[in-house]
Amino acid sequence: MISRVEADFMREKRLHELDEELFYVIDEKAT
Amino acid sequence: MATGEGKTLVATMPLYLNALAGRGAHLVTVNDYLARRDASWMGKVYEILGLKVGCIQADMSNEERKLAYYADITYGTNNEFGFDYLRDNMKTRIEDKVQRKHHYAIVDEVDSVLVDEARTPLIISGPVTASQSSDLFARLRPNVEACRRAAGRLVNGLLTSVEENLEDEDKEFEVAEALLKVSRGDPKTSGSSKSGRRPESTG
Repeated sequence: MISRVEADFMREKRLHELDEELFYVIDEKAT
Repeated sequence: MATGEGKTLVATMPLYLNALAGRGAHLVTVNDYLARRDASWMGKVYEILGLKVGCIQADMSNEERKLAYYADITYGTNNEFGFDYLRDNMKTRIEDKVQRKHHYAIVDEVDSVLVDEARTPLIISGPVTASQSSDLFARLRPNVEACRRAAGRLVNGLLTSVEENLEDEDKEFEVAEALLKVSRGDPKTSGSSKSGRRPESTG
């Protein structure tokens, strides 16, 4: 099922939508 | 062709033809002596035809190497070509690179170069001053840890939603999408989620 969903996303060129949540912004000055 | 039948001489023909494009042609051989000898012997043929020949030797400076690589035809060993390529990849200024783009190469003694010599990998390494490496590590570590914690929180949230919706057939797609995000966001957890484990860094 996961592979099927991934294939759907790839076919529709929407893989970037999956990754958007996975980018983390670090505030260097605050750390 | 058998030994002594003229492979090295025959190689001059395709080398000449491909060198005419002006993008450089390489002849790769197994040792410095053969590279020097063939460049000298075959060089006469190329010179008559109006081309310049270069030969890479182990003890050459960067400037000498660059001149040899910018000749129409360059003779050298697989080791020298390989290490020059690796060293070029470590250089930060384009003018410091000795090789140009690769266009055409013939490998002489191919069994030796691609079978015998290929068993020894070309590895390039250099010293890193202790202060440089530890400073960089100390500076980057908090950010990397923060990223790891953020990834852990996100993956845990996704796994919670998966657990809640696992029995619901209408949400099969959402569950698969969440698991796909888990596998892309944290491949290690994706493997362990099958066994019910979760990422350790929950922040």
